[in-house]
Parts: sequence; structure tokens; C-alpha cells
Amino acid sequence: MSIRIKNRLLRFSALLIIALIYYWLHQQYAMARLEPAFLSGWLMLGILLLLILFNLRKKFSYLPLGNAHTWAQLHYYAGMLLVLVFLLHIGMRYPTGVFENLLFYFFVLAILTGLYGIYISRAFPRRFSSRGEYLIFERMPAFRQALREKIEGLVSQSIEQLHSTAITEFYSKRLLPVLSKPQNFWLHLFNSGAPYARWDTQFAAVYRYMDEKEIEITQQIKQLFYQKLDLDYQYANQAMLKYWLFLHIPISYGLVILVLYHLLLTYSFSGGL
Amino acid sequence: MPDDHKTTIITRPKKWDRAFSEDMTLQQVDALLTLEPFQSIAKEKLAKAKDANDPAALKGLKDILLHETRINDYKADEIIVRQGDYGGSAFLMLSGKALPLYDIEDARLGRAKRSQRSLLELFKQRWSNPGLPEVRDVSRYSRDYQQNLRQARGPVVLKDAAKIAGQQKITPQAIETGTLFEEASAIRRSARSATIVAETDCRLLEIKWQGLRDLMNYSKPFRQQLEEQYRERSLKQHLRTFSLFQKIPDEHINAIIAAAVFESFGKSDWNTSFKNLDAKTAAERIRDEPLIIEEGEYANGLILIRSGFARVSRKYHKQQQTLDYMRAGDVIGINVLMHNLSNPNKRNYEYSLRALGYTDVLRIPAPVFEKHIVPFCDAQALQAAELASVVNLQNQQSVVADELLNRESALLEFFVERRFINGTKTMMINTDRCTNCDDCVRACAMAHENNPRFIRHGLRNDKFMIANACMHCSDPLCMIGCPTGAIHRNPTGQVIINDDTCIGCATCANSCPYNNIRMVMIRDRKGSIVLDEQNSPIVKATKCDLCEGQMVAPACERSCPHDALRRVDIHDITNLQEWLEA
Amino acid sequence: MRDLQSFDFDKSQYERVNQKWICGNQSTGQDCAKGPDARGQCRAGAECKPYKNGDRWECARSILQGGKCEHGPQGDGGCYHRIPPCKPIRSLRARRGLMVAGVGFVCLALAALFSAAPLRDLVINPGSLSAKHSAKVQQCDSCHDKKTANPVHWLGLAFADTNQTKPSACVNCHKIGATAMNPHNLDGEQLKTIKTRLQVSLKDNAVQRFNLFSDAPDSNASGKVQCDTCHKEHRGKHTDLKRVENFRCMDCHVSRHVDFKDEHPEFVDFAYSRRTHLRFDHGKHFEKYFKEEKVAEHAPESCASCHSPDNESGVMVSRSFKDGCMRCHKNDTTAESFTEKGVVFFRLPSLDLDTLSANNISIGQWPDGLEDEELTPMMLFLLSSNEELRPLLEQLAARELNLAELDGVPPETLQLVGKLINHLKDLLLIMANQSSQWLSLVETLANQRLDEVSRAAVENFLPAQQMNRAFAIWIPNLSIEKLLRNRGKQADNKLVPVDHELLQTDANTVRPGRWYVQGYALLYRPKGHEDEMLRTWLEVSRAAIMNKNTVAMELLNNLAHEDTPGQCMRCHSVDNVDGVVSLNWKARNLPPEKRLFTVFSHAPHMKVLKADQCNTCHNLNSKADYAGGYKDMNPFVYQSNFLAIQKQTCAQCHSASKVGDTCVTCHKYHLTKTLINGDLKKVAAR
Repeated sequence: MSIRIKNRLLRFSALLIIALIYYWLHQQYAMARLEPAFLSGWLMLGILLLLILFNLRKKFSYLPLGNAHTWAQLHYYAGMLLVLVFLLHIGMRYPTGVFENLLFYFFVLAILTGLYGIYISRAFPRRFSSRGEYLIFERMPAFRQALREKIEGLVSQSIEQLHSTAITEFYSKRLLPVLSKPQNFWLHLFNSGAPYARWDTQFAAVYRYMDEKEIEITQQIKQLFYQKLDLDYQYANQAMLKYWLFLHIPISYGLVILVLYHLLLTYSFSGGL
Repeated sequence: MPDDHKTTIITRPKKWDRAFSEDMTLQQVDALLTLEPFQSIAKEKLAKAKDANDPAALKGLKDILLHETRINDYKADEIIVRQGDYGGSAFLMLSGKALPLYDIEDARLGRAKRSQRSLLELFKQRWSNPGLPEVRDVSRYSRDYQQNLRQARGPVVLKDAAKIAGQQKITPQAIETGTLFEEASAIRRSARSATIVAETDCRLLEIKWQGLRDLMNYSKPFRQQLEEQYRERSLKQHLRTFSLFQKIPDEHINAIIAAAVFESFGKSDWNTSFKNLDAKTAAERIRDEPLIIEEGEYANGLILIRSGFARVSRKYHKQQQTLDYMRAGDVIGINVLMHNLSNPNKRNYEYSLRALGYTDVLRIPAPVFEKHIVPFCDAQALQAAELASVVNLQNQQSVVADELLNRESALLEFFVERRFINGTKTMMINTDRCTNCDDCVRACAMAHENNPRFIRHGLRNDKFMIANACMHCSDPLCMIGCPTGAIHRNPTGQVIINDDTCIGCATCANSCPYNNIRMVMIRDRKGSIVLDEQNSPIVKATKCDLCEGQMVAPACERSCPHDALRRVDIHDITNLQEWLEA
Repeated sequence: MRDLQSFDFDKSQYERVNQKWICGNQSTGQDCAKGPDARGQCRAGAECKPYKNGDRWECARSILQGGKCEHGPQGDGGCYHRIPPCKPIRSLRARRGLMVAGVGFVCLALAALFSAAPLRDLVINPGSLSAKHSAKVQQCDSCHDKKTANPVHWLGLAFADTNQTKPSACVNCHKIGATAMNPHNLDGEQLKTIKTRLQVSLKDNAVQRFNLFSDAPDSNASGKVQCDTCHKEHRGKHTDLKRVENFRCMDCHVSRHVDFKDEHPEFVDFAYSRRTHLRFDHGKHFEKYFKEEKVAEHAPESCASCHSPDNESGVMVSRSFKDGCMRCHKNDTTAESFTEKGVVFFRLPSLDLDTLSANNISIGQWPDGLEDEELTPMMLFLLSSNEELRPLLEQLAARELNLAELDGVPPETLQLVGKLINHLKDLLLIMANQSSQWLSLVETLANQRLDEVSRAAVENFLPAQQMNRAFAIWIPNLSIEKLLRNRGKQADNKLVPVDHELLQTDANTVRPGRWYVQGYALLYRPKGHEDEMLRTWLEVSRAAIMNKNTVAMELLNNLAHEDTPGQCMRCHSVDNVDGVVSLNWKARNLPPEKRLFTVFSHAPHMKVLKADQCNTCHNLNSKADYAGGYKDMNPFVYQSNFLAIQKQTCAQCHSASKVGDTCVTCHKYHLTKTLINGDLKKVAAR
């Protein structure tokens, strides 16, 4: 068994033990004629803050706060613990109040986006090395532009030297519309080969009406164009790796605010702190 | 138009703009000319000159002395250089006596890691960092500011050096007046071989390595003299630093030195040729590397790498397969020789050895080895000495062995070919883990006044990317050309650029074979670009400084949430193993 | 395939992802070296600012921008290379930051909105109340603190250490009393006793189980058990507030009973915790009597012949005497089998008149020829209406003194005897004349107002003419002596000769419910089951005992004796639990709501059992000495006819999987004081 797996098992069992210990405390609390929702509630708030701290730690990367990898792990497992405590907190019942519903959905969303995040940050990176050139996200538009210009260069060359109408037509009709923007976002996200297959046929089709010279140039165009496809593939996957946080983080911060409101309500309506 | 920011204008810094020492005077220079070795250099030059009394004849020499040297006075017991430091200069003893000592514990050498900035300043960074890129406090470039800096540094003292000298393994011989010392480390950009303590009060002439280089180019005899001196003096110390020679008595060492063959392969500025590497095929690249020993030729001696690197390869199908590389101090051939001593059927070299860039080797003939080394080392020690260098990865069962050799990706080939072996803090990114979150870049910028000091792109081999971040080479080529010595090594061996003295000539950027130094236009606090009198923007060389002076370092590695980024030394297998498995 | 990007130091500059603003031209790769300023303004202008060298302009472009341009500046010193201005855009990070701020703001706004009056009660309500409550309660503050109506106070309330759900809120409607918040609504004293009871009966050594959060419970938990400990509101209309999880009980009840079958302690003499109120020996009847053929036709076929569940109360009721027992025991209640058919209520005692006369104590006439007769318990009892005589009566009751031999008795006692006899004579007159004094005298003795039936029974205690006749024969001068005594004169002591023929009655001719004279005694023949006369006097004597009348017990014993005609107390047992005497006229069958801890109702069980399946739970114990349980008045020294019911029996059906085994299935939490007091007395008596 690889060390990586071993560590993972270790962490999971640690999580399990903590969860069990908490479950015991929870029972004890209930038996003591106390409302265990308060216990689980505070625990959840604590965990929530811990999770938020992960984000804050990034803002203070230069302070000796332990390395980010450890924090990330803590973040994942604390998150899972939070789910368990959450289930106990709501007593496995679907909440009945209107506000509590809102709270519930915020929580569920935060968790789901989080889990999705874990999944893609594990699964997607491999894709970057698998297809196309490994590029910096911010620079992709520029490179797309560059490719476009190269293709246009070839096209105009074809016009000057060969007076080729076929290439011009194919370019203006098929290529031009898709060159300036990233395409097939979702297909790429699901690692589909469809775009390539589609364009294979597209190119195959136009060869019919070309002479050798034109085909030669078109093949160069195709090569460049496929570079663009790969670029889009990289773009889609990198983009998703950035955009999921656009959900996860805002929702999480929103959640914290709602939770604090919930805390205020709870205590003002059922005995002081 | 936003362009009407009031632009800051400063005089463009130039070489010798700022002499090594402000208080070096022409009188002192003239005084120096009456001393060796300068006297003879001057003689030689004047002899060449048509008109002996033409003052211009010695201008070059005088300039060098004026700008590249300074006179330092040391009280008795003051430390002149520390063993292991990377000093950019050699010393000429003008008067007094000094003692070379070895392996003094750091504490007594007053080595305490001190950060230039206060804790509070460090903590404030998040808010105090400028909002715009490459903002500089231009006032730092003024003369008197530099002056104050120099005053700030005080001397460090090592008491009763003489007593310590008594306890040393080899009794050191004192450095007398008129001797030039620590020139080897200066030229080779290598670590100081000894700690040198002033025994009496003494006066020294400190010569920057640039100056030394200039002098060597200025006069042939001086160059020869230096090399000769190196062979007879520093070489012994040098050898002592290698485990293999530690137990051997003095006279034998001398014998070895006498018999040993010194060879240098390749050019010291190999980076120029390295640039057009992509044009060649792997086979061609290897063929172009100077051969030190060839697989299959008769094993007539053992090879010790004195400096630089060498590729260890073996024939594989029609070409060479790289099995390992050797660094200064590594030895190869011991096993074969040992075998040949005892067995009638002799064996030949099992590997080819090729110089990577510039390589100094020491070839010790078999008989010498048998006579002067074997008697003093037990078999294990010898075995160890060899194993220590050639790590037999190919028959190892480990993730790292797999990555480096056995998989098609052949990471080791990649490292050797691209000379990443040179790096001691190479930024290696595992692209199977990296999510491109850029936390590393952001953390880096945070630690460098809002400026990233590397780019998260670079050459890739399978799933490993070597990002464009300074690798802090064991042989920093970037330092070769620097006219001002702004780019230097700090006591811990990290290559640092002193922004204050950098003149933005881009020599270092050009000579870095790995494209890891970036030139930037600097801004004043208002954010407008700083110009010189000719309205041309001032540029500075920038690169990774391993977060020197920060509380935690390096920020990039510590800030990676997926453990995808590490600063590695490919030679440090265990470290690499840990990372690949984690 | 050629790479798009170059790593050369002069071709690729630092990627400043940390900047807030990025050049708008970045997307086209035309981003300028200057970049936007801190406020996101474009700073595009000329690429360089030409420098005037003497009289000509020189290009000053940086090597980083490609060095000096070939054609140089314009003639007027302007630069040809204008940087195309752009609209700087926020970096990804910056945009994300905005989004965080946005969502944060929205959430705050929502919170504010929810706190506002129109929405508040609807939105922040964590869930509607249970059906009954939601019908009655509308506002939060009808149960919660009044202040909660105004959000301004919320923060204050949150930190005020009070219970905002006023306990009174529940108690207003649910009247549970002052100790509502105590465990089982009982005060510390009672709780302690219960704890002892648990330890004694259930062998439950009540050690506090380790609990991180709670102090030692039971008696210390006074006022700590809030209603909402068990009854959780705001769980939607359809929640059953009475559903209580087992572990709620486990805090105080230290031995875990979560699972009935395995964890609940075994029952102790369950269902037969005392002798039965009505003495009916199931053992003897089923094993012996019912087997005899003379009663064969009356013998019941099954339990159901005599026992059936009452449908509303759910308790088992037994057949009445008339339709059941009387079939065989008709004559027992009318003393048919006795030679002397009546209960001797009244008799003149024989008296040592000479001694009295010797000490010239005047009592007047006294009949001759009494063979040492004694005062009957009834008479002792009636005479005890005169406090002064009590000591003497006690002596007599204890047979320490005999009226027939008075010589050697101290004179003061003789004085008392004189008084006694005279009082006796007054009594006779009161009775004979039926005067109102009579009833008041009895009620003073009973120390209570009697119910109408008893009054009637007392008032026509004796038929007047029979009495007058008897008295005339016994003591002719009865009324004259009274007059003399009233005048303070003394009648001389004199033995009067009596004609015995006049005083003989044939008992067999006396019909039930009638009086008759036999010698110097008056007797009453019981008229059958439920005879008011006997019942009344039993009750009166009981009441008197409770009223510390020392001779009343004598009467009770006499009337309750098995061989006293009527034989009431042959079946109706008398309990004496530390001084509290009770006459068990009815079989004890409490309706469930009157039970103490354990609620059991036969009705639902009978639904699942057939009529002949009573023995599922009830099995005869033939070895038991049932009769032995009635030797004295302590109901707890007994042996039941039936074997105690085992837990196992109940557990057959009562499991979580079948019909449920929660604590509250059989036990109730809310106990009323009155009940517990009664029960605890009995506990103490064990």
C-alpha cells in the first residue's frame, strides 16, 4: 500500500474516532436534561471558523502559520466532520422553519461546492499534462489571438499565392466565427473527444474541393486550429478550477453571517448565553 | 492623460560608479604598486610599453586597484573569512599574520541568521506592501545611504586562535605578509576552504573576484602564478575537504598531489553554448560533451571531480543512457581498481564520464592509489566513497528510482541534459497535483513587496515542470559577468541580487542558462517609471531570493495547498522520495 | 508542434496575478509595460519620452520594450509609438472578492428583513407548533419573553442569563402545581422516599451514572426539569408532544432500561403487591369447593364467568355478591346456621351491689339473678361518650376489673363504678326515648357527621316498645330514679326479683333484620348482604378508632369477628396500616389514571387475548397459604393465590419491534401528590 493511501486511511480513521467521541458527548448532553443542539451548534460554529481560517491563512502566507498543505487537509477533514455534526444538529429532520430552510440550503450548497472542489482539484490537473500545451490561464486569450493571427496569415497567403477561394470560404464560414472565443466549454469539461471528431470531418470535407497546394496550407491551418482546440480544452478545465471557488467562498461567508443570525435568534428566544 | 505623473529621474548607475571602497586613494594605489605581485605586473606591462614613463601604460592596472580593491585593517582575533562562506574576493596580506582554521562550530563564528527587517515590519507586509509592481525607494541608491549600511556591520572575533590551531588535525601554517590567499574560492565562486583569523593586528588588501579576473586577463604571468600557487597550497586543503583523503598523512597527500594529473574540461562560460541546446538531438548533445573516461577503456586510475559536473552514462542500445551525474568531491573508479588489485583478470571502466559544462578533475593513477590511499582506508570506507557518488539507482526498487531512471520519461536524463543538476533549490512542480491556483505566486509576491519573483511556467518532462525560478546553483554562472558584484552568494550559499548596487546591465539575466533572472523597470512610490537623465527607464535584475529575511521560507513551497511544488536538489534522493510518495 | 509560449527572460515577464487591475489589452497580448495605476486607470501614453540631446531628439525606449526604435522620435520630440489605451479590467481574484462582498451584503440584508415586523413571526419561526398549541397560540411572546417581540432587545436577551421560554407559559394551562418543575412534580421528601423504594423493591442501587454535564439528579434536581426537556415544540403540526425518548428518563434512573426485555429489572410480586381487599381464596375454590358436586351447577367455567373488563375505565370488574358468591353463600349473611341468630348489642352486667351499698354508693334498682354477665363491647363503646369513665372502661375492656366482685376495690374506683351504672341508666333512657341526644352522642363518638343511610340506621337503632318493655321488666323505677338523681336525692340500692319467663324468645322465630330480647340482652339478626346496621356500626367504630377512642377497637374486633352473625368481615378485610384503619367493602381495582407509577389497562390486552387466556399472565399458586394473610389487619403480610407475573411475559409483546417498550408505555412521569402519599405509607409499612 502506498504511503499516500496509508496516510489517507489514517486521517479518515482519526476523523471517525473524533466523530464517535462527539456522538458520545452528544448523548451525555441530552441525558443531562440539556438541549444537545446547543453543543453541536457551538461545535459547528467552531469548525466553520476553522474552515474560514484556511482562506485567511492564504492572505498571510508569510507568517509562520504552518504550511498550506496541512491546512488544506485540515480543511477537507474538518469539512467532513462538519457534515456529521450537522446531521446530528438538525436531528436528521428536514428543517421546518422558513429561515431555517434558507440556512439549510446555504449549508448544503457550501458543502456540495466544497466536495466538487475536492473532486476537480484531484481529477483535473492530470488533464493539463494530457492534452495541449501547459499554459498560464491569464495568458490564454493572448495565445488564442496569436493563433488566430497565424491562421489569418496563412489564409491571406493562400489568397495572394493561390487565389484560393475554397480556403477563404472555409475560413470565413467555419473558422472565423469560432476563433476569437473559447468553444465547447462543457464538452471539454467532460473530457469529450466530440469537438475533434467534428472538425476532423469538417476538414476532410473541404479537402475534396482543393488542389494539393491548397490542401498543404489547409493542413497547416488545421494544425494551428487544433492547437486552438487544445487551448480551449485547457481553458475550460482551468477555468472550472478557478470558478468553483466563485461559488464556494461567497456562499461560505454568507453562511457564516446567517449562522450568526441564527445564533442570535436561538439565544434571544431560548435563554441567555 | 495619466502620463503626466511627475516622473522621478536618477543618474543611471554604471560600472565603477561606486568603487568597492570610497576611501581608496591614488596614493594608496601607488603604494600598492611597490608590492608584489603588482610590482612585477607593472614591470611586465612597462616593459611592453613603448614609453616606460607614460602614465597611461599602467592606467588599467591602477583603475582595477582603485575600483576593485580596498584596504582593510583587522585587530588580532578578528575573523577575516569564515569557512563555508561564499566570498566574492581574495586577500593580499600587506602586514601582520593570520591563521587558517578548519571546522569551527558556527556559534563561535558568530553566524546568526538575522533578518534585516523587524518583526513588526514583517507582519505589516500585507498592508505596507505597495499596490503597484516593482516600486522602489529610490533614496536607497544614493551614496551616503550605502555608506551608512557599511558602517552598520561590525567585526566578529574568535578568541585564542593559536590554541585552537594546536588542536587541529593538520597544524595550519600561518599566512605571512605578501601572500595572496582565498583567491581560489574567489575565482571558482566556491565556498571558503578555511576560516581565517587575524593572529596579530593586520592590514589586508581585499580584491573583488571581478578585479582578480580583470588582473588575470590583464597579465599572463599573474595568471600562471596564481594557478601554480593553487596547485601547491589550496589544493591540499581542497583535497582534505573530501572524505576520501581525510585520514591520509601529510607526506602521502603531497605525494598524491605530485603524482596526480589535473585536467579541466569544457569552458567556464558554458552557458553561451548551452543556449542553442534545442537545436541538437540528445545523442549530439552527449557527443559534444568532452569525454573524461570512456566505458570499456582500461581502468588506469580513479577520477575525482574537483568542481563542476560530469555525466555518468553507459551504452544502451545504440546510444548512451545516463545513470547518474557527479559533483565536486565525488569519486569514481575505486571499485574497479580494488577489483583489479586482487584479481588477475582485470576489469575496464564500467561507465563513461563526460564533462557537463566546465569540469575540473583530478586523475589519480592506479599505482598511486594502491601505494598512498589503500593502506590508510579500510575497504568499507573506500566502497562507501564510491557509492556515495554513484547512486546505483537502476537496481533500486523505489518511486524515485522509477521516476529518475526506469520510466520512459527518464527524469534524470532530463535533469542532466538541461543542467538542472546545477540547482540546489530547483522549483519542481508536479503538474498531476497542481491546480494552477497561483497561491505560490501570490505568496511569493507577498514576500517581495508585491512582486512575484518567479514565473509558474517552464520546461516540462512528463508530469514534472521546472518552473522559471532561480535554482540557486551550486555553480552560479549568473555571477560570472556581473560588473558590480551586485549578484552574490550569502553565507548560506544562496545567490542574491543586491538591488542597491545592480546597474541593470542584464549580464546575469543573459548568462543564466535557465532564464531565471528577469529584468524589470522600476517605479517610484507614486507608481511612475523611474527614468535616467536620458529619459530611459531604469531597469534592475530580479529573481528568487528564497525569501531571504522572511520569517518563513520559501513562501512558494509552504503556500502550496496540494503539495505540488517543492524546491529540490535532485541529488537529495531521500527528500525527493518523500515528496513523490507523499 | 511548435510551442506557443517562450520562457526566455526577455520574452516572458512576471505574471502578476496578485495585481488588482490588469491591462485591458492583455487578452490581445498587447498589454503595455506601464500597466494600469492603483485605481484601475489606464496609463497608456507614448512608449517612450524622447530625450533632447543637444538639438536632436533621441529615442529613450527601454531594452525591455525592444530598445531604441529605428526611426526615432518625431521632429517635435513626440513619440511615434503611442500605446493603444485600454479599459483596465479587474483580475479574477478581484472579481471574486467583489462577489464575496456582494453575497455577504445580501445575507445581512436578509437578516435585517427577517427581523422586521411583517415577516418576523412567519420567517424566524423555527417550525409550527403542535396541532393543539398552534390553534391557541399566535404570537411568539405568548410563550417567549415579552421583549422578544422587539428585535432591538434580542442582543440583550441573548446575553441575559434567563430562560426566555417562561415555564409559566405551560403551567398556565396545564395545572401541575408549585412543584411542576421538579422530577415527577414531587418535592424533595417524596423523591427521597421514592429513591429508597427503588433501592428496596427494585434492588436498584441508585448510583449516579457518569455524566459529564449533569449534577447528581433526583432530589437535587428540584425545579430543574423544564417542560421542554421532554416536550419539544416547533417541530411541525403533526409532532406528538407526548412521545418521549427513553434516554430522557435515564438521567435520573441510573440503571439503563433502554431495552425493556434485557435491561428493565425483573418484576417484584407484580400485580399482587398485597392481600386482596375481598378475601376470596381462588386456590381453595378452584381446587376444592368447585369440585364438589353439590355446588357443581354454580361452579364458574372460566375466569370470565366472574371477571370482565370495564370498557371505559379498562379495569377488570368482578361479579357482584348477588350474582356470584350468593349462589352458595346466601345463608352465611343471615346467620342461618347459628344457634343464636343475633349480634348481642346490649346486655346488663351482673353487679356486686353489696360492696357498693357497703360503701353507700347509690345506684338504685338492679335486677336479681344475673349470672356473671359482662358489659358488651357495644356498651363499653357507647359509655365511652363520657370522658371521665374512659379509664374505668379500659380496665373493664382489659378484664382487669369485674363488676361482679368489687370488694377490695379502692373506694374512688367504686365511686366511678357508681357513676358508670348511673350513666348506663341515663343511656338506657336516652335510647328508650329516642331523644335527639342519641344521634349527636353517636356522631360525637364517630367525630364526624354520618351519611343519611347511617343516620337512619342509628336513629331506628332500637324499636321503642320492645325496649321500654324490656327495661320495665329489668329496672321498673328507671325513670323515677332519673328524677331523683336530677333532684340530687339518692335511691336506695335494691335487687329487684325478675320473672324469667317474660324474657325468653325463640331465636328461630326471629326474622332477619329484626331485634329480640334474650334474658338481659338485646340482639339484632342481620338481614343479609349489605346490612346497613352492621355496616354503620363498623364504620362508626372505625371512625372512633381514628378519633383515638381506646375502647372502639373492642367493638370493631367484636363486630368484625368471623363468628359474629352476618360474618361481614369474613370476606371484607380490615386493613390497619400504621394506625390508618380501612374497611375494604369493595375489591381494589384502580382505573389506570389512579395508578401510581405503572399504568396498566386490561381492556387493550383483553382485545388480543381470548376469554380463556387469562392464564397467559395469571397462574394459580396452589401452595400459597392464602388464609394466613388475613390473621391480622396488616395487608402486606400475605401470600397471593397467584404466581407473580414475570417481566418475560410482558416482553413477549412489549419490544421495540412489536407493540413498543418505551418507558412511558407503562410508566407515567407526572405523579399527583395525594396518590403518592397513600402509596408511600404502604411502602413504609413493608
